[in-house]
Amino acid sequence: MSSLSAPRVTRVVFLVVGIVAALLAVAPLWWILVSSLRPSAEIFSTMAPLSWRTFVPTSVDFGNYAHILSSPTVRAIVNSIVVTAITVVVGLVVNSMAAFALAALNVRGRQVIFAVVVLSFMIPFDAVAIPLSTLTRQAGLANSFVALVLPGLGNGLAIFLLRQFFLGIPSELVEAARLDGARTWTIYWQVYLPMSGGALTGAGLILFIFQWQAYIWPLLVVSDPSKDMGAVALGRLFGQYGVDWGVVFAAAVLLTIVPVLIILGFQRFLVNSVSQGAIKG
Amino acid sequence: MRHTKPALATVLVIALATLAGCSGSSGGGTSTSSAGNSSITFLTFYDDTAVQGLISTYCQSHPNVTIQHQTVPFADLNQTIETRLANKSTDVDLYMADQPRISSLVNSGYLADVTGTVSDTSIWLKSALDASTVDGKLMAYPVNTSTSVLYYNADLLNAAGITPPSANPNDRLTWDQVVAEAKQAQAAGAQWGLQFDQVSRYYQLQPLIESAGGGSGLTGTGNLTPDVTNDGWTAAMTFYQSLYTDGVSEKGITPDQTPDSFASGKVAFYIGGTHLAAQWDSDNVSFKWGIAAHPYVAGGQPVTPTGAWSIGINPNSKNIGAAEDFAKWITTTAEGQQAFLNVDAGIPAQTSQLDSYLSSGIWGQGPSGSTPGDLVKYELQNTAVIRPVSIGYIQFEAITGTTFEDIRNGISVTSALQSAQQQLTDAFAHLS
Repeated sequence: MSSLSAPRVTRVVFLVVGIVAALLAVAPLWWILVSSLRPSAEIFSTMAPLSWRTFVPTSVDFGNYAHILSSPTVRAIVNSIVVTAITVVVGLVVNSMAAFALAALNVRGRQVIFAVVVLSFMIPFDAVAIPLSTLTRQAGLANSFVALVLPGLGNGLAIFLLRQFFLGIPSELVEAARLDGARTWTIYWQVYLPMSGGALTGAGLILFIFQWQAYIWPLLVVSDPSKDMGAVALGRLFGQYGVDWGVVFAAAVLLTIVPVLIILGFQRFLVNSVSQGAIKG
Repeated sequence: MRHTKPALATVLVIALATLAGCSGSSGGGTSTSSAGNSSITFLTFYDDTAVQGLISTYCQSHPNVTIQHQTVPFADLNQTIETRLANKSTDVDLYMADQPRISSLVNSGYLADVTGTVSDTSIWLKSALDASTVDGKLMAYPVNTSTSVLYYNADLLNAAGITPPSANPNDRLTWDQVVAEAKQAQAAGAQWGLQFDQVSRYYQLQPLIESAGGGSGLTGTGNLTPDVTNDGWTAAMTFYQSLYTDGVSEKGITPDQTPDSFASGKVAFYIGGTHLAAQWDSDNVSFKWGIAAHPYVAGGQPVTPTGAWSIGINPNSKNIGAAEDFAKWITTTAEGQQAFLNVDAGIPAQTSQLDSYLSSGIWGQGPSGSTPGDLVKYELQNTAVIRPVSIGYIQFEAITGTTFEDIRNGISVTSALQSAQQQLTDAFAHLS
């Protein structure tokens, strides 16, 4: 019988610690998922003292999901998907054009403009949301999808990441394109963008997350329940006389599925784009 | 062909009726008036479908008004009022005003003085009227109110050999009796002896403090002098802390979670609002439960919490008359109050509506004169004490809430109250 070598023991210890840490990280999410399949009273009867029944349902009840799927929350989730999709598509065009201008064009004062862009994402959006909402209302945009989309389009962090990536594109490529007669728009559209899939994915995810979790802004500019966003609809489930936690958890699960699927699908690009953005320039 | 003219006329009539008719819609934000028609915007935190039903009922007798409903999540109402009424905005014409915040809303210029628009204010419960009155002026129309009762899990009490308490206010238990029986129930199997509904919130703890002789915590002109370190406050908070150090009440639980904790059958006694009775009744919880009178401190006066919602008018509204008419219909007429019950099932502020409300369903069950409904009526008329009317109430509620949590978590009662006294003094220095 041979004893385990020291490096192997260390590896096993790290593995066990890693598994425990992963379980601890996943446990609250799992509990929310399990609780969404229980009536509210049962959620709390199994919560304390902590036992295996806290995390393993003895019966499954889809009543909470049936309630949510027949409520206006569904429409709000669809609104969130539509608004977020428009924000990501239009926002990527706007932000990549701005980043291209700051990285590749010899615009006078571009360093100052870039400094303003960097400053812009240091200021919390909530700090400017109230005066901005007043302007939006005065412009007659209240209760419109345009009002929901607009503040999500220009994103300083997305411009910063894209600019850093664009700075890393060899200038020889641009010069070659110019020799071939390409104009600025062609260089942007046919040289920069095709090479920037990872960076665009990262910027797109930043735009997506900003819009998907937006709460204060929709609350300020929309008062028509038919234009509710998902996060606000979730907020409506917390009523004056209490909370049906099973229903809240079911809504939270539905609202989480979309970003989880997208982030899992694109996480490789996201990590790459952030690291590339950090080292280039 | 011969039907063309009648058909065209019918279409025209319907179109005109639609244009001129009273209707409800969601969203909006405009407030216009033309050709005798008014358009007003009503800001609430209620379900849109329920409010549209209320508006439809109103429209049957008021065909020349268009009412737009804006609704926000409950937790965001006060912030939304601040943003939508700021800068003399006319986005909102009338809105739900939280009664303890009325003073502050008046101070901010967000409430129109409606004194004199109702000839007889004795139609409302005195506590609801007082909570809507600032410096002798009626600043909002009271629509509903609230109180708390002592709920008990009859199965847990029976298992411990405890006789369930009575709904008769003359047989009211003291806090010490409740705690003694709670501990007895725990010894017989109850996980927790006593739970507060709105744990660590001023609304729920005010009766304990007032009954202990501590007063509201605010005194002086405009209720802007804090007084939270007196003997009554100290005794009440010492008792509150002992519930958690002795394991009678559950630590860490939040107000959103406490109703489900009782409904899961783990708690022997529960201090909570009357709305929970209907909820547990319809949910068919798996044990027998009952209602008794709110406890009091031995040697002190019985005190119960109260207060809910009023309807306020934006002083900058372009249609104040139409907004007042709608608010008055809800708050002063039987038809309006009944229609509003479909929106919010809270206890009506109109005294004429109390009997029918408190004799229906679970409230009317039991021996005549000692039904839960009789108890609630007694509490509203005899023991209800409103929260202090002060422009500093918002800060007071926030600071005392943090203090109650600190005390629940084991911080010295004396130092916690002294800290609260200092924080309140600093906060009020900017207000007085």
